[in-house]
Amino acid sequence: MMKLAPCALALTLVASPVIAQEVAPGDQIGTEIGAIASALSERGYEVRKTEREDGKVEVYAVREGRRFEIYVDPETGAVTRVKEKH
Amino acid sequence: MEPQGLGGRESARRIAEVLTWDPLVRLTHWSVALLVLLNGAVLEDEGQPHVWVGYAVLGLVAARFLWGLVGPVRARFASFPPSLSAARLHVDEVMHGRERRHASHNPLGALMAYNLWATLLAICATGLMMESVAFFGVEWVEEAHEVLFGWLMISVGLHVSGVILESFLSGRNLVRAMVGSFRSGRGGGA
Repeated sequence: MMKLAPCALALTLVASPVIAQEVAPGDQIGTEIGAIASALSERGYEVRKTEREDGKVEVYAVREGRRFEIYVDPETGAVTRVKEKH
Repeated sequence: MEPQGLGGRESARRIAEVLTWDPLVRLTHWSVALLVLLNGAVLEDEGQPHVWVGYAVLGLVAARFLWGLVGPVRARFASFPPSLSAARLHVDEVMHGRERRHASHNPLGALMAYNLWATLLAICATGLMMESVAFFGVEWVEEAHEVLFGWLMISVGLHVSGVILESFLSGRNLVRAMVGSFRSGRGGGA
């Protein structure tokens, strides 16, 4: 067991950045639709649809069985709103 | 129901009468009409209330469907089976001013009722799909939902026109049957 502990620790350190990649308002993910979509894909989102709405880019995406609408300001490249659909 | 060959003054009076639909038929008809108006013209497409209203429509259509199986004879599907040939015959009769009285929906109205129900169900189905993880944000589902709603609007236009035209040609106010008589003991007769 004692020998496993460092391994577990190492795994946690490697794994945690991957786990914590859900986007939040303020995150810079891109100013163009292509860049935004690939940034979200890298963070584990399955991008279903993108559209421009009221000057924002709205992304419909699914992540781990949860449905999200993510709004990005194409001027700054920042996420302005993350709405999970329930 | 045997179509009655009516003649004379007494039968003219009887043919002028319009039987009021039973309360569940009237309730579901007007509730669905109101909720479709609400979802189509008032509520935001993307909001949760739109989804709740959609569920309510589905429930009302389901209630009418059950009524079509176990309700009063006149409300049952068996009383107005879909038939193109019967609808053609009906149009021909109305054009020549010799319409028979139908126990339930007239054959053309029956086709419209089935069309409206099928369209409503398809709109509800695509709406439910849009709420699912599998079809969330999938464009063709959203487009189908919108195209079906467009078809519903066309159908409603045809339905209302048909009711007005048939009321005019037959001299029987069909709207009364769906509104119901406000005077008790009178079957909506003119």
